[in-house]
Amino acid sequence: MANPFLENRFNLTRRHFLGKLSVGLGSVALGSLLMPDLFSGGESDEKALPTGLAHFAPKAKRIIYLFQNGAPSQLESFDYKPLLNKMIGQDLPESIRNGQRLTGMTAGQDKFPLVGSYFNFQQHGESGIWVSDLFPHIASIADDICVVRSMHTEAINHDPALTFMQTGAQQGNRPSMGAWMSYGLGSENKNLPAYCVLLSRGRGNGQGVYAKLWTNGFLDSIHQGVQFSNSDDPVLYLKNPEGMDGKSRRRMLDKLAELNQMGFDEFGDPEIQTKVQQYEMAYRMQTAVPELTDLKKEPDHIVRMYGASCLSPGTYAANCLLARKLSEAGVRFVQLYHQGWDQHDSLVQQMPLQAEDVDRPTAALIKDLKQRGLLDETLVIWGGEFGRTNYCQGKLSGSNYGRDHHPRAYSIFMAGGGVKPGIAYGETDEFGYNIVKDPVHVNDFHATILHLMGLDHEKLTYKHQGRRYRLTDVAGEVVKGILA
Amino acid sequence: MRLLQKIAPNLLFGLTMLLLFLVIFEENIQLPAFLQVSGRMHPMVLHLPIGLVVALGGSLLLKPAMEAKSFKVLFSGLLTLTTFCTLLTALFGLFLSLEGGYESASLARHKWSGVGMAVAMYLWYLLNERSIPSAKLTQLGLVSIGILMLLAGHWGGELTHGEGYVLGPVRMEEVPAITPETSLYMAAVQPVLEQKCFGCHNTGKSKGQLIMSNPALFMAGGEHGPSLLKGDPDNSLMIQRAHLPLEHEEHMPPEGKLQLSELEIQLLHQWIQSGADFNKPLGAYQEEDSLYLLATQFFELADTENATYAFEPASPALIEKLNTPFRTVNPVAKGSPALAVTIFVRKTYQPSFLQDLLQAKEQIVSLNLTDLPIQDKDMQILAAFPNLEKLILNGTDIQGKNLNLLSANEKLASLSLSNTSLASDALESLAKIPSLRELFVWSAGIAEEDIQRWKDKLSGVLVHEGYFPDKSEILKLNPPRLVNKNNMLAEGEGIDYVHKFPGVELRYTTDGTDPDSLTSPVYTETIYPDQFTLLKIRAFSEGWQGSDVLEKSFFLEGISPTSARLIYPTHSTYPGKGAISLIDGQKADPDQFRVPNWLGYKETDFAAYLYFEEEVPEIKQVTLSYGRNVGAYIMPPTKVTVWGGDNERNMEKLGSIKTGKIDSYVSNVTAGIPIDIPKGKYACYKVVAETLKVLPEWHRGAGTPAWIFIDEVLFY
Repeated sequence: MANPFLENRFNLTRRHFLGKLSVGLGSVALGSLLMPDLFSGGESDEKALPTGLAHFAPKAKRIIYLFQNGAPSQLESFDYKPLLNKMIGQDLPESIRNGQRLTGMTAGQDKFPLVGSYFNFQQHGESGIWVSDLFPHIASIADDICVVRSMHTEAINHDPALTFMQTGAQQGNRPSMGAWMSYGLGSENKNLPAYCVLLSRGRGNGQGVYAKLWTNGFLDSIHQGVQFSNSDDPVLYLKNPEGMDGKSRRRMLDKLAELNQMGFDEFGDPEIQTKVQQYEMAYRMQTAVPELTDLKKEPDHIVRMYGASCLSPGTYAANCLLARKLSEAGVRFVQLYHQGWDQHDSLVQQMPLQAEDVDRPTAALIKDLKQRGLLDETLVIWGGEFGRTNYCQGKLSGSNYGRDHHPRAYSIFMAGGGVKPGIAYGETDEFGYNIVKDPVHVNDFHATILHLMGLDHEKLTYKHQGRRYRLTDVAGEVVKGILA
Repeated sequence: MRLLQKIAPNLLFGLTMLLLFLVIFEENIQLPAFLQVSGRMHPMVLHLPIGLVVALGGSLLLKPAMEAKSFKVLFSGLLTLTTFCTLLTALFGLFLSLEGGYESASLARHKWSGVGMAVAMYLWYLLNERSIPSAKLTQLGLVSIGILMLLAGHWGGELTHGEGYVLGPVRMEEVPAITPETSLYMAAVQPVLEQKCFGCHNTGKSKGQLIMSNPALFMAGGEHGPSLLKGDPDNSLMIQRAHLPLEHEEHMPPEGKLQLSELEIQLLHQWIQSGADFNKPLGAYQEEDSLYLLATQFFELADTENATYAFEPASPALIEKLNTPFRTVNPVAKGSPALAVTIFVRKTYQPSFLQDLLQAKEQIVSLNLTDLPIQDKDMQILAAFPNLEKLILNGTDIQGKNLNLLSANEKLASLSLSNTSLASDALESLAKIPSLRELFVWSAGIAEEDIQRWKDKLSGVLVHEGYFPDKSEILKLNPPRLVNKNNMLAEGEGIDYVHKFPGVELRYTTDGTDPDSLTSPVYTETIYPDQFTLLKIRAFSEGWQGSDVLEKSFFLEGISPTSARLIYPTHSTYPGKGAISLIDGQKADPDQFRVPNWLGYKETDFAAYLYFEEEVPEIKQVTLSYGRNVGAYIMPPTKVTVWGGDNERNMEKLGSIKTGKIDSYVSNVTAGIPIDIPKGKYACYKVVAETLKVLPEWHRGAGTPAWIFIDEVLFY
């Protein structure tokens, strides 16, 4: 520098700048003391969450969700409305319907003939919960279950309602409940997927289930639900192919992991790590799964409890038995879907067939968990995506009828896992149409389930496309009235 | 400036005298409205003297840099202004206090400190004007005014925000845990009032002479009468006020203050409705009591199970080391020192998996060893976990010899021994575990009567013996499962069924009757039908009720015609893929109307030409495949006729079949109608199927026409 004066000025300026900078940064740092989360990267940061640990001590460690796909009628199961039998054939008063939208299937009807349950109801257990005669085995454990008769949803058709129930959004591609659990709590058993899906189909009118219901959405793909096959081999391609022994399989995986590590070092794509973990888990599953899925060894009293069909892969009973075994082995979330509950017509014929398929195995599963001392830490949920109308779809003639979709009120039940046993929560009006007490929105339902699992639904978030997402999105209150 | 110098001494003197006068004769003052307005400006004006006193102190910094004269002007000007504002603030404050609603002790403190500051300010002004200002005087003035201002300001703040407002956040106040003994008022109602009402209605500040922070005074009410009437919320003043429109003068809390939420109003309403009880403990309410349920939204019951643990957490390094693919060791929740452990997979189990856990024996509260080869000798290890609360030994190899060792686990509350083979006296030693609350002994090899006996001895322990099957109950078998994916059988393909139930017998029929357990043929191997067959099959087993019938139609792949043409068009709703649907080999499902394989007809009959254009084969049977879904008005054709010939104009009738009447809602199937014809070679066939024109009486569509659904015409 030729000009010493200028140089001096420059130096001074630099010193000045640095000095000011330190004071400025100091102030910012001081201010940041008031914002504990500012530099922790927020909760969606990989380090902050998931730690695989509950936010607080959980009541339930695992969930078995017995999804009754197609929406079973609450009026023939848990919501007893004798007035509808008295008023059979009479038109639904407008004061009750109150302009509620209807599906395209009944919107054109000029009459909405009320129809009561063809099946009788009785009160059961010390709790005196009303259960229809279609479900004698579930009725026998009335004191162990919590019936919520005031569920309500926003969707009126199957697919959006089902998607809403499973992912907290109607549009799809958001992570499913099981994926959120896996994300928030991790896998209890590292030899099995944290989220397993089992499908079965009943004899009633069915509706589809699609893989989008057990998607990981924007979460890491390791949280995706793993669908089990309905064949004798529930997890396909688990056995080593002929000519490949365990040792060479191990060597192959080690080599593959090395190659993948090179790929990861180069691209840094976390999905590569996920893939490596999945290969490793699959390897361990080769040992863990056969122990679990072999139904042949089930003793006679278990077969009698779940019913003979529990030995036939792909039936609801077999899936219930498998669900118990998976859950007992630490699978965080076992999701069953049982199709066939969409009784737009022929309800009187179809509903008994559906009930026959699910009643005994459902009750058996709950009893089975209880006798192993696992019910208190396992939450069992039974229910569909919405309810059914109190009026007949089409003309009411003879003793048969059908019911359309009804999102305003429906019933589900839960058992174990920190839910108060032997209560019926919420109430609908005498027509079974509107909720008059303690409504439970799907968001509330999700918030409550997360709460039971030791997760704060407002804290379990994932940042995606510039905003934080939750299972409950921006709503949901924990339903304290059903907590034990 | 000169004018100001003239006016100021007089103005300030006047104001001081006025202030002193009013303070002395406060009792007798009748405040006119315009002075009330100025009184209410006190909370705003008071900020002026605060700022000016700071400015006074600050101006001293200018002293060395200014000429003495200039500084004097500046300083005395500031001092004059400060004195003026202080006097005005004190006066306004006095006016405000006359409106009432403030508790006397704290008000007095604020008033006297405020007046004191104003007078002191005036004195400082006076001395500064009269004598030559000295550094000592300035220091004395600043310090004493500063102190007085802090006091007056602090006490004034307490008047507005309640006592202890400033130090509230740092004062270590133990918030008492809410237990069932806590009153509902304390748990739910008071926190709401505290947040939304106590600010103005406390013992310090009682707007409208209402004090809500003390139950007795709260009930007594204020100047407008009692604020609540027990059991009558609708006529209770506080509920009425809360319901007034926000802009209403009497709406409470006043506009601009934190408002009551809908839920909070509901809570207050219910609480008054049920008698406004201040003392009734939470435990005394029924769980379904609507007030109780509402109140539960406002508090968290202290979690007695979530008891804090006295022990230190294990080091993260140790926890990480103990975690292996087959052993999960995790804190029960974030930040909890307690550990929950599960070991998985019998095949890979090694005794060290359990042994290693002793490194964290203090911290482990739950241990799940389901289905592992744990033996009686391992009880010694298990006994070494002093804080173990839950132990699961389901499906292990224990026989129960050393269960008595578990009495060393002083916290053990839940023990699961299901699915084991225990000795009949194994439960005896469990009586020695005083902390035990739950015991699971289902299928544990202990006879039912022994369990009953032990149930009585294990007082205070909930013994779950689980489910015992009722062997006399006859249960129904499930039907077999069809292995074939497709019901169109290729050449040489047979029909296979499986059933997983041990010792099951499958019996079937092909004549449309339901199989029975005695006469129907037993399924032993693959069935090869020789034409369209409706196969019904059931499962039977000794001691079990026979299964429901599994019913399925099977078609043999035939000789495909080269083309087809529909004579009458289909109903517009079910056009299928047109005539090609008849010869594409694609079967349809009777429950899925919309699949493009169905050709639907109503009122018109089905009629089609089918052509063999290249090589004309020899045909001896034609099978028409149709769908039946009686509930959906889809009935079988009433009559099927087959014609054959060289071309469309030259045809002879080859055969015809009438179908039986349907008299109930029979099951939904895809079925076939085989029509045997004299063996022959024709290049062109015509098939006609007639629809049922009127549904029968018993059908819910009685009188209207039925549908027929056709998906295939097969040639053999």
